[in-house]
Amino acid sequence: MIVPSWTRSFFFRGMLLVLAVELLVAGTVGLATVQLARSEILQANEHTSETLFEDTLAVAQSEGPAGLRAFLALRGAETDDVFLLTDPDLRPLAGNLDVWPRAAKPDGRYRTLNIRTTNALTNADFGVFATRLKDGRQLLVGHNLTPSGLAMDALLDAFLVAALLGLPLAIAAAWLVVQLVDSRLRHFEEVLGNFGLGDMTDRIPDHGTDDSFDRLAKIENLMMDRMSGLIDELRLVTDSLAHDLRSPLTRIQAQLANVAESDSIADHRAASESVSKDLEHLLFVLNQMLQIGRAEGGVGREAFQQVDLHEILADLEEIYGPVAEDANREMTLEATGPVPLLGQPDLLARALANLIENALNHGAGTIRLRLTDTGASFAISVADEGDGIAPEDEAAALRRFGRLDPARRMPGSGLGLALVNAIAHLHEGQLSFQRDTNSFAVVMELPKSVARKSN
Amino acid sequence: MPDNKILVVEDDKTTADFIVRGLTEEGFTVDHVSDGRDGLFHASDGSYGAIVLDRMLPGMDGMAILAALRAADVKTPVLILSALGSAEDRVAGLTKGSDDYLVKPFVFAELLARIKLLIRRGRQDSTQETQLTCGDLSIDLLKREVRRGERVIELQPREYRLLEFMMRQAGQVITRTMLLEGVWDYHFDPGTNVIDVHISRLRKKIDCDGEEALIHTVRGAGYRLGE
Repeated sequence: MIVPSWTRSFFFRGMLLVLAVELLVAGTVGLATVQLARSEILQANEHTSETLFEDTLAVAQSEGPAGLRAFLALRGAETDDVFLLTDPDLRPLAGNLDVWPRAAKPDGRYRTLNIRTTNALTNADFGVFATRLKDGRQLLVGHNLTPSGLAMDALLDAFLVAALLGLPLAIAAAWLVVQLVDSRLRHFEEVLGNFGLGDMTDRIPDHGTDDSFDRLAKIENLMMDRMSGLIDELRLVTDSLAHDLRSPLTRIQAQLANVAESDSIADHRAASESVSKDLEHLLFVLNQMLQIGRAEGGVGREAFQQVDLHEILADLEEIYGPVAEDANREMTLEATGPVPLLGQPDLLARALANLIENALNHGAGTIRLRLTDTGASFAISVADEGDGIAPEDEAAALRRFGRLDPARRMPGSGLGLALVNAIAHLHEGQLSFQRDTNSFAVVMELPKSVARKSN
Repeated sequence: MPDNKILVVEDDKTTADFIVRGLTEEGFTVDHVSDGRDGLFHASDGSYGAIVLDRMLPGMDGMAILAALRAADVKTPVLILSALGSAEDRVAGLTKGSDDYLVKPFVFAELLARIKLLIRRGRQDSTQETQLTCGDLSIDLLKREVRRGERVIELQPREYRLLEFMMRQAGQVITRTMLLEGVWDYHFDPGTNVIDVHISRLRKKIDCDGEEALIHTVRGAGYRLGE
């Protein structure tokens, strides 16, 4: 059977659910009320009939046969109740009933009978007691049940009317509930829809209630912040990349054009060497860009392994120590014990090597490598005694192609710190700068244990 | 097993020609196939000294060929040549049975040096050496003692490891990245002149005045230890 798709929609199912719950509650309450009222009324009927019967018997005892006959005549005329006194052969002596009903046994038990009194036009229900008196006569006393039956009917009617009136109310309530959910979701629809279309400035409003909608909104907002940040950065990077690649490409083009017509082997050799150098630079920039892109995108976390940060730092000190010495600089390492961390050893070494090379090329004085345990994370600091990066240049330094030397005289791609930053991010850590009198440090903080995603 | 036979599985014609010509000039006998399935077919008889394997190939993926070879117990050294150059691509390549991983684009000298290293390593694995020699330079691996003729040379641990690595590849060209990998087990392109500084320090201790130079700089490639 094909079920139309709208029946699976939240709107339809939500309404259906709310409606069903409301009807169930109303039905249960109504049914219980009617049942309770019914049993109360039936009990009250029996009680009234019994009282009436006992009163009549009391009259029969105290007033004698004549008194009883007068009493019955009076009551029979004044009330809706039924009375009948017969002789032992069931011939009527007094009362408002023509014949002794066959179903009425003179046993003093309560019965409900449908009979017609002398002055009534139609049959009616009576709660009846019948008995045989000491002198052999038979007495029948009955309380008219019509009013209580009407009351019961009225109650049932009232309930049905209430249920009928309640149905539209229930539908309205269900609709309101669904609308409430819908209105909260409308913000999501609007903002996410615009985001998808390219307008990335709007965010989903926070109602400050910390309910599931607000929590979802927070997550979505965070996601949009990150995406728009990445896109902004990508735009910047593409522009810078175009600029940084265009100059060596232009040089290559010019050199090849220059020697194309030349017959001199020396010319070709010189051009080939120069082109090789430019190509090498291009490849270096490209590789750096790819590495940054991958690290920022979180690619490679699945290949994380147990590494010892101390060992990596010690290796780097061993690798770069002699280089520093040759430059008449000193390099020291402060670290103790094995420092285990989940990470990518080549990338971590690459990042720290970049920091050391920056200190070697742009810094001054002693280079201090320091590894400290800050509780939740490990902090690796690479400090030197140079001026470092000015506070206002920090953001630019972390950006791709954010070279702080506008004329680009110093060698380098302007990607070094951006790569370090990306590698820190890949390890869920971050980069910061610390200034002290006569010292500047770049600090990479890596959290000890993070829930590593295993894609 | 003829060590000078090399199989090149590479579908890019220009790259393949470049490799085949270079290796032939170096005295190797080179077979070239450009399809993955042909590559596996040729490689599975185990008659090559080394295999240069591209990762992305028509017919059959390079990693699949490698897995099939290793499953068939073919132990020929395999060098993967790939444009996939991230750290985790490299680790994946090395852990899945390849002996070396070189990222495109590459310098021919680097490829050559690495192929020669693979072939030599394949030969050496069976013997446990206690001494390495090159000319009058020798290392006693048990006593960790280095001598040049009668002269005992004191080396720092890192210099000792560097020299040991070079002695094991004596006569062969060793590139800077090979040194960083071989001595420190890191794979990244060290900037500036890091390796040069280490070599020049080692050279000062090994090649004294009046002695024949043993550590040679090979222009555009790296270094070579030998007479």
